[in-house]
Amino acid sequence: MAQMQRPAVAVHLDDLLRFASELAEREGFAPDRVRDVELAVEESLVNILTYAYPNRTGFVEVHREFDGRSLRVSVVDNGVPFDPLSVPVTGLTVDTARRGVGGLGILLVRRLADHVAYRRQEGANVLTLTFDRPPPTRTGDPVHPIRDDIMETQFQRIENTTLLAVKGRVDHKTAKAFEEVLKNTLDEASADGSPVLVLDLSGLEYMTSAGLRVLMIAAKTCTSRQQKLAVAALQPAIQEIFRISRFDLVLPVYPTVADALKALSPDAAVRWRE
Amino acid sequence: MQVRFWGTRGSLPTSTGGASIREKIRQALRQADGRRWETDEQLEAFIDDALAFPVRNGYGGDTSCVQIASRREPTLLDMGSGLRRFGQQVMETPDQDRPTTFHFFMSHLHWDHIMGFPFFPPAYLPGNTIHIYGGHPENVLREAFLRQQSTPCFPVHWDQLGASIRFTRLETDRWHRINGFAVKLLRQAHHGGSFGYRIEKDGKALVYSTDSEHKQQDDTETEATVSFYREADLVIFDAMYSLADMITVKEDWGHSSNIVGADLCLRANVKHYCMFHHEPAYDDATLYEILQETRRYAEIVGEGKSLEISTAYDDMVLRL
Repeated sequence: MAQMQRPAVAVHLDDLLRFASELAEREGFAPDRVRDVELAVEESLVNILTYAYPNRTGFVEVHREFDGRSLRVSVVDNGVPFDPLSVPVTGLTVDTARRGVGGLGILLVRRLADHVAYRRQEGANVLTLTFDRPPPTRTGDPVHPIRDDIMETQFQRIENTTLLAVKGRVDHKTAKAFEEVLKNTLDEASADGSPVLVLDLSGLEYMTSAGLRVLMIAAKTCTSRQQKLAVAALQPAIQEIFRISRFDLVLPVYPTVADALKALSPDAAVRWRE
Repeated sequence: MQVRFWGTRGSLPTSTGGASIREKIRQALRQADGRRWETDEQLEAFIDDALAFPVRNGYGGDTSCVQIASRREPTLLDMGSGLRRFGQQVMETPDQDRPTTFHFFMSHLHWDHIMGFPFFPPAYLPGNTIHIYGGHPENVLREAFLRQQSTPCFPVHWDQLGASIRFTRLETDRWHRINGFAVKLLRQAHHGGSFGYRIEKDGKALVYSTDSEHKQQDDTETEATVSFYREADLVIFDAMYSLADMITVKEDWGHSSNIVGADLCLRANVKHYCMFHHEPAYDDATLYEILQETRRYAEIVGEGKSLEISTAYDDMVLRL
């Protein structure tokens, strides 16, 4: 694995970016995918430059490696411990004040890279971005596939009820972010003495077992804290997935948000406007 | 490569049972609706074409035992109760007296995966050689078999077996060449540990991955599984439970679900996903329904990817 080390100051940014994207270019990634690599690495580096060394100038390293299928780029710093993946990815929620520092940057990184992993290793932050090289495409096919790892949530508190609208796709790429959002929402609801959580899934287009697992974790947390969790307004395909996985037997499912509120919190049902 | 399933049931052998047979007859007669057939061929065609699988056939009740056809020496995965019927077939071949070497790859040593061995006649014949490979240490492998054939579990003791029996531990981090196959192991989450096998020959790849709980909570473990399955022609997968069961009441029971298998196979670009290690409580109609549901699930989440899906049944033969 090749690596480049530079002082963590903006003047070296271009060198470090170029170091990562050059390998993508050489290994035959499409031009706009090379730009994705640059953009994702840039976001990760800017994050380090801004936050990693509050009182001193440290170093930043970029490691690059191609295994025949995927390009792996790691950005490494010895600054304050920070796991950017622990920042809840709330997507384009209206509640922007709730988004943590770096939330947008890491959202972008997650959207651009096929896989993002963080580890703290021997006093260093190591953020590894993986970019898969798509197989050669037929003439006429779009070179760059449509990004499919977008999950958004929107939060609303009505009386004793938290209403969380989930939109987009929850699969192995977005499940961790979904888990984080649900956990935070449940923690806050619990701290505020709000015993009911309704998930409005009308905007959820896609969900695999990885997402269902997160729902089950939330359901278990709710049971242990005497909170109530229900899902509502499932699209037909998601309804089918609930039936096939037997989740309709372990989670209360309501046809509409209004039905869920009526059943779980009559006060919230009165106050709620679609 | 050709694969034959001698046993596909999980945990415990089951029987079809009188009530279930009666239900099959009832449905077949209703379907026939007074029809008459001139010839046996026409009757056979009716059975094959008009009757659904759980009516004309069934998934069987023997526990895990799968044979990979080899022009050299017989090669099998696990020794569940299905091994008895394989042994019977060996004893019925004309040259059954000829000394033979058998190769067995063990996923692990739980009862349902070794119970066929005391009923495997070739083990009693001097001159035969039986290689038993596994990811567990050799003394652990040996101990499981010894205990099974000792008092009070079984009347015929281990030292009364005539064949020469050898235990070999296979490491997980490299390929092994055994009987013309390239073999690699993957450690899986199961009580006491279990091992998945990736077996390749003539450009075809088979993965046997049973008794494994894929919780998908640890990315490293999930990614290792996806890469182990990658581009395989066939993945035989422990799809014992529904997802809801797997992650609620049956969490940590060491098994997976039909839809987790579909997700992993879709991600790994597998050609054929075969559900295996069936829950003993499920009857043929239930297993058939789960197959339809799993196909539908893969259609929804697969977004145009093609994945063949089947449910293994005793005596099923697949050609890769």
